[in-house]
Amino acid sequence: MLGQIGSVALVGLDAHCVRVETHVAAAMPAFVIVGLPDTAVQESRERVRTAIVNAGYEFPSRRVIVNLAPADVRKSGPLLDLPIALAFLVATGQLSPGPERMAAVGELGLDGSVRPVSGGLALAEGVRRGGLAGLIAPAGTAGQAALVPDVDVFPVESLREAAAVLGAGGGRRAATVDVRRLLATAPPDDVDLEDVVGQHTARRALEVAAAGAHNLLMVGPPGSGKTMLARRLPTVLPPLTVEEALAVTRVHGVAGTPTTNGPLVCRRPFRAPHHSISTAGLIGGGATPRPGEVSLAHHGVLFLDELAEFRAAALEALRQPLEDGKVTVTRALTSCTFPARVTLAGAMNPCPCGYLGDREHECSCTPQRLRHYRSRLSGPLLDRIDLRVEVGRVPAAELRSRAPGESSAGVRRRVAAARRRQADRLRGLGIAANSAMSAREVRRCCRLTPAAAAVLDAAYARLRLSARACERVVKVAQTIADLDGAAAVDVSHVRESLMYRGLEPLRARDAGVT
Amino acid sequence: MTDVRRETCLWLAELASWRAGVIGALVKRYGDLSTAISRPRAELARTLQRKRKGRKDGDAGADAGGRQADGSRQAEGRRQTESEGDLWRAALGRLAPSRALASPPGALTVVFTDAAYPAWLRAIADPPPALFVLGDDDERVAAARWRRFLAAPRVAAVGCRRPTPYGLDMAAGIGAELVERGVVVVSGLAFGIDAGAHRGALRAETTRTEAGAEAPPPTVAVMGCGADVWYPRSHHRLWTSVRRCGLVVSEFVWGTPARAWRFPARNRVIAGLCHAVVVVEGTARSGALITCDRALDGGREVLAVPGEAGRAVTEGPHGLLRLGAALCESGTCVVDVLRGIRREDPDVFDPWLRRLDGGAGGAGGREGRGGDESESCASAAGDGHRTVAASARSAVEGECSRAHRLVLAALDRRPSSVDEVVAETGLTVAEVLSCLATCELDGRVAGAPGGVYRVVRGRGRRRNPPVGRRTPSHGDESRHDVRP
Repeated sequence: MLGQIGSVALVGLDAHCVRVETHVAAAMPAFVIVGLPDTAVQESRERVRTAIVNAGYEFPSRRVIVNLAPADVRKSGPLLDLPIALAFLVATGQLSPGPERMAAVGELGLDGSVRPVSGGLALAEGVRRGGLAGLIAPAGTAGQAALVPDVDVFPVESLREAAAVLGAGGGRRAATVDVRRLLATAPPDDVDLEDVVGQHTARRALEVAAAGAHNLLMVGPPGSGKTMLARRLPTVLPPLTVEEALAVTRVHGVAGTPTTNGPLVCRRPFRAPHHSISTAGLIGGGATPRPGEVSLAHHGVLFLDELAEFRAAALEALRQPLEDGKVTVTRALTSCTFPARVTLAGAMNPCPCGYLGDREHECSCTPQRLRHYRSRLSGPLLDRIDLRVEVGRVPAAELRSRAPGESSAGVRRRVAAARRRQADRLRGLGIAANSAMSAREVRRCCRLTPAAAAVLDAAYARLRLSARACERVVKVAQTIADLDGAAAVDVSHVRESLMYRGLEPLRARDAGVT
Repeated sequence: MTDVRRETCLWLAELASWRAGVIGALVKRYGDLSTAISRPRAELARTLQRKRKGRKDGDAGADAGGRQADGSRQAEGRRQTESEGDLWRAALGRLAPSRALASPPGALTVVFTDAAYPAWLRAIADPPPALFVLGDDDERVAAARWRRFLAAPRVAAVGCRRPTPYGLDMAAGIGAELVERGVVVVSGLAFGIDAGAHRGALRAETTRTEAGAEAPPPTVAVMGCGADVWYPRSHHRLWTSVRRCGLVVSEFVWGTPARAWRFPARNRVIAGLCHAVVVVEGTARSGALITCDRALDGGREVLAVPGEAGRAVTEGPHGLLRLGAALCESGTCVVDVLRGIRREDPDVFDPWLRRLDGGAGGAGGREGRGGDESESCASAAGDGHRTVAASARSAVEGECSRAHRLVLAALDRRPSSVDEVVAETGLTVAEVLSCLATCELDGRVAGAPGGVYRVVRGRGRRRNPPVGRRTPSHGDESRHDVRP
């Protein structure tokens, strides 16, 4: 006899509809799964057999053949346990066939319970795309799946409950979720910019970085507060929009990271991978590709502490995602595209010992070591970092004074206003922030006053800036002008912008590090 | 006869390249080097062998295993496989300079008995038997430069390899100022102060207007390895620039790799070649102090640049000041000291001082302009830059002037980070950054690692010559490595 049910399989962030067909024949007893299953799916034979017996059903000594169609899509993970078990029950006549347009996902425990699986949002979207109407899902997964409209989600706790839902053609539905309300009621951030004492320059750089979505590099001795500052960068970014929140939740759901408010990720992500991370860990990878840190930081902040200590290959691999806002991971059987629109915040010491330029400590690095340390950051990666700021140690007296700085909320308001101005100016170009402007868009959109243009020309000639560096100065100046509410980029904006990266040629010459 | 003595000099130079203390031993035995040179080589060889008896062989770093990759890049394969001990023994047994001593094309070899050998260097206790000189790619050019070098006042600028930004400013500023006044800056091409002094001199050379055929070379590098070996390796471009405009000198034979023991020996040559030595920064154990000791032994003037009290790198110069060294705040101090010793080398100083004081030309005019530079931002900039910058400045003159004054006053009190300037002046970060950008661009303020800004002293802003007047060769030099 034949039993079948719909299900979904995850490939990267995309869910493909899968048909689970089970045939039970009177032949030599066996349990075979065909249709490109991976090891986790093969193991589900033991879980399914035991769960069926423990849930009080019969498991006859017959030949059981499970086919997962289409056979050219690789299926992985334990989420096919439940549909296999349900198709088996239908095939053995222990359950009447349910409605055609019903799908199921879930991992089975040996006692017949149903356990949550990752990627609820992506799975439900796959169900909708496949034209199915209902999804039987583990209770822990159903919440996220219910974020997708047009799909009826039925949360279940056990195999018996799932069988009942399928037999009845429906059951208790998961509560539909209002994403807007969830976003509005998100718990406040657990850190705030007002915790930072002093650091006026770094705060300003943080504000400019947030306003224009510019990548930021903080350079300073150990213990000067680089990590503390970076941790607060997401709090000054404007709140997530509905689309952004769903995009972030999709990635985090597949990766299985915990969410902030119910099923939804409501805060801008902040990811701080350790510098020993591999290339695959950073940009995504694996035989069936999983999103990497750069995708988990989508619409948020990717913080790379000790930037110079990261593997060169991993940092080089960051170039494409930083440029395109997405990353494509290609493996032998599959190719997946993950979103990766991040603000990169890097932190590093000024030299290997950390005390170059520090007044209290003597630096003990030789010129050779210093040169080697600096050469670890390649030019192409540095080209994508618009802001560089020196973070100094805060004097003890100031630390004790505990005069709180401005709170994140105040900065966030200014940032949001600047972002609105950018959105108005960049409407129709398909980009959201100044940092994403191409050379052509910089020419077309950024208006400089004549005096500002003169300052820029003088600096260009004087410092022999590259065209790319000059473009970077203009972009940052435009963001500063947006923060200022100015109609055109003025002299002071260009000058401040020059201080973030533009004067580097001058300083390299001065430092005599050659 | 002269040929024999010339060969003896070259042979001794080769021996002295492979083992420390060769000249010292000969001087001890014969009283001075010229006597030693007139003796038969077999006798000299016996003396040197006797001298080495009882001492552990190879204590002068003569093992091939410990050889660094640095500097030996150009050395021939033969030298890379043979130990320096072997080379020493081979030269000693040969009793003649090796044929490999044939100079590379365009090189000049000056031996102790030549008329072109510097008289001041000949007078030191253990003068090098020969000097190998590179100047451009032409032996005649090198010879002409060498002659002009010896006809000009010569000042060594030495210091530590890891200076403070202030020290670098001072080295470059003094170097530039001396070259503008027709003084040759001699140093050792090492990291830090040496490189700063060379660079300052090279940059001044590009703007020197009166640079005629008779102008002395701006700068001379005395190497602690063969003159054709660039050490440190990353100073290749600096080495090339010095060679193109000035001279690269070494007492060691071509291809000699750098070794620790050769640097003190090199320092005695620097001291011996110069009329005065300026110490910019250095710890109490700095090699710069070796140069000073040798300079004092030879009766040279020693000047010291004061630094921040309590810093390790100011111990050296401050110690010298305590012992009576002349205070050096700018190139003018050096010139004053040189005036004081004009009678000691009238052939050099009289024509030079006549030019300096009599000629109302470039140097004097420049000096006059130096005075108003603190007020006018434009004077540091070149003509092409000035017109653009001036128009930009006039547009915002009023807006920035108060903030500028506050920021410069704060930085003048002590070098500060942006945060400190913000705290002190009460301006916003944006205002301070904007002011600093202007000041840094026109060279009044310099940023350093660690985000500390300081007012540039000692006319160091000449480090950035005006656009459009550079010669391509120096463009190459100062362009290299503009990495953050």
